[in-house]
Amino acid sequence: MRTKIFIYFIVLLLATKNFAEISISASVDKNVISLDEYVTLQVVVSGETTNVPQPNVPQLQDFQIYSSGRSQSISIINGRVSTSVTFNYILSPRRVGEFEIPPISVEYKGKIYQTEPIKIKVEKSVPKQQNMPQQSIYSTKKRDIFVETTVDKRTAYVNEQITLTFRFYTRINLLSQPQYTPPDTAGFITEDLPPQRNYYTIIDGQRYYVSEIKTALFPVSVGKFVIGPATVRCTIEDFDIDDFFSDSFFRRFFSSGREVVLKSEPIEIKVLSLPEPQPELFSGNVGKYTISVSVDKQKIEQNESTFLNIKISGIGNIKSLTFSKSLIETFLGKNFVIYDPITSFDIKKENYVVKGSKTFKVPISVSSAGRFVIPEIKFIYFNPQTKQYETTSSTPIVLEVIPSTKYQIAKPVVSKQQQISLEDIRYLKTFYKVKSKNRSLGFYIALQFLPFICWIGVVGYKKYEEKKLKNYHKYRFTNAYKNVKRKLKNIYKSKNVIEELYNIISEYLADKMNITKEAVSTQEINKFFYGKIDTNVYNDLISLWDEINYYKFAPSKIDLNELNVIEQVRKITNVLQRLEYELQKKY
Amino acid sequence: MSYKKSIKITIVLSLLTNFIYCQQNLFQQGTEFYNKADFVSAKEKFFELNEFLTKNNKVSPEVLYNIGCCYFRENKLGYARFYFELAKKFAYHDKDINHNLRFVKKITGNTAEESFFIQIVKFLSFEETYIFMFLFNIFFFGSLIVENFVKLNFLRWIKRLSLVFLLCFAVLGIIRLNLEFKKTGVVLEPVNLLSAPEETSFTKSVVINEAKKVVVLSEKGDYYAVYLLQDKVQGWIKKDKIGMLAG
Repeated sequence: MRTKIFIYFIVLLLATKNFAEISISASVDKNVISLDEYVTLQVVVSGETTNVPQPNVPQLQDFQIYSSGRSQSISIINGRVSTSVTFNYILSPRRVGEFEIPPISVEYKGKIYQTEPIKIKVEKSVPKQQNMPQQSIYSTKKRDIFVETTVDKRTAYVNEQITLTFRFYTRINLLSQPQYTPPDTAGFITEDLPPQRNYYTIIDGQRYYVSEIKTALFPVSVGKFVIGPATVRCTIEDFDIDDFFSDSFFRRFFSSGREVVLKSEPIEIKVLSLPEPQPELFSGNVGKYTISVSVDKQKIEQNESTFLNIKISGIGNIKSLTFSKSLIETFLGKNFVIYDPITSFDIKKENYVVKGSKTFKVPISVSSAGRFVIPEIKFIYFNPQTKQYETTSSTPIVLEVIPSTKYQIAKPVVSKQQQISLEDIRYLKTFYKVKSKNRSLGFYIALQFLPFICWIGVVGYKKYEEKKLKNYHKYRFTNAYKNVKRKLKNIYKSKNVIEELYNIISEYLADKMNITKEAVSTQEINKFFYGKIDTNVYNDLISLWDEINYYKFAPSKIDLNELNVIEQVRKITNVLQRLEYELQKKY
Repeated sequence: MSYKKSIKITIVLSLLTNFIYCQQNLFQQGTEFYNKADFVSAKEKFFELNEFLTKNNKVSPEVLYNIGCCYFRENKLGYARFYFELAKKFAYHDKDINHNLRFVKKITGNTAEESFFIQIVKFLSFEETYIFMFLFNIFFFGSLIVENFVKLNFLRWIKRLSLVFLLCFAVLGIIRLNLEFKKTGVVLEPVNLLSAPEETSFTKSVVINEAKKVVVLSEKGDYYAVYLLQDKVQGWIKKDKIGMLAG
């Protein structure tokens, strides 16, 4: 048993060790380049930790190395944190030949992890082949259509913005959408500068429609670079605009046009190195910036983490702004525990200038209670406008650290991974319910009319009742025969048929004469009906009434068993039907 | 019960059990893959389950939510938001769905898409808004009906109050209806916003980041004319880059 527990313990230890391991890999976007091109080197360090160490990129004699930022993704699944950080570098070759990037290493918990070496072949820069036939370059004496590229400066410092403007001029109709191919910008990091402008301009007395596309270029290394020609391919009308009376004018209706390729002139740019000596804390950032620092929470518990937000705002290549963890450690000192920053940026391109802000969110914590000051943090950059190194500083922030309610001070401080609490999405749903896909929205809308319809119904019924009361005699007169028919149908269910027949007839006559049921008599019938209806009908009615009265008031003289109810009902129906007919004629 | 009838019932029951088991199994497999950080396989399982439910004209907000989570882990925030939004349609007040949706909006910088007023309108779901409207409808017309038969003083107050609430909810209901049937979508992947419904260098204006909510104004060919709620700009975007939510 003990041996088993020991084995389990060893396995558990090994598993824990595995979790703590990290991995490193490196890749380049191309292995064969020319001298005026550059290679992007990507180093990915990942592991189940939030504190991924920075890789040690060896000094390369044959390349100039520039850091172009890093991106990080953190995921927390079931409390297990895993991080993957991608470090991007730009390598600019110094000479022609075959070179090897030696293994890039990273040290983690005393163990060294390294990548495989990468081979890169640097060839002589060859002028780009002009694939377009020379005759296809459209250039007339009158210059109906042409392109040009310009730059705002031909000499710039490394990482300083150069604005490249491409303009497409035309004063004739185009038969197809122009196809724009941007120029070759090897040696520069490019950034589109929208929006495209379209306007009219007058050159040598001619009015042109101009389409203008701007691009920001940031040189990555010192030296001379050539911005290649930009090309536009389009189809134009194949006729002479001024030659109205020539055949060609009429031919245009049948012509499918002519394809032309327009090319701009290449532009040479001289890239200067940044002035020496460079300040101690300078990390290669060029532009004009301001720094602002804030914390998510100014009052935290011991060992609880908060975010220190370092925001660098201004004009320049925002994406490649760097602010290393070691630099932050230099400013903050030993009181703070600092984790790897998470970066985000917001780029604006107003007035064709790349500007914006990059935020470094640095998780920090303090292991002892008290008031701590986050001192001013300096950001040094090279301003190409003033050609000087400038410094921007933040204001100090006081951080109040209260004794922890979760951890006792006497206990050893928990590991960094446990301390960090980053916001994340919620966990998966572990059960599911099924619903109908159709949401009955129409039902909910229709439901709203139900109370209104009820109200209309009630109001209508009330009106009907009022009307009925107002003209009660007419109501009784009209509905008398309908009531008789209804009651006669149910006569067979009745226990006392004679009584029921008497009631039916007396009620009918009362309704017709507008008197009470009890007041119906031969005299009243005589008074109401005599002379108003056919004599035969009158006689039949009187004899029916007498007969019913006889049954009602002298029941002992008749044998009820012999009374044919069906026959009686038929007789009553017959008489009343005829009477009704007579009354309808009259009224 | 006849012999044939009992066989039929047994077959139907076994098929039903098998269906339920298959569904449950897919869900469990998806969850297990997710726990092993194999988000692609997890997503496939949840997709399979979702497809199965869709065929039967059913939907599960939990399955849609889980697909959104997988996409989030794959760092495809546009798709993640799309599935969270779909899940929300069927489970409006689910805390997890709302938290994840808020989180995706926060990290993609889309927190100011809707005005404060619209946020208030959206506090209640479409169904809830109309149920409240129905209740006040009953109070108002009910008091009118009762008034026809009985004269009670407090009925007058019920009538007035319910009328005020009824009008408020009627306005909310109309806005909610408009929102419900407005053609909206989510940008699934970073895409060029174009000035015309064709993609050339001359029509490109700006790259739109994923997970932005758009209102679809019209369509032409393979493109939608859209209005970006957060950035307040209009343009054309390829149809396959937008996940449609409603309309």
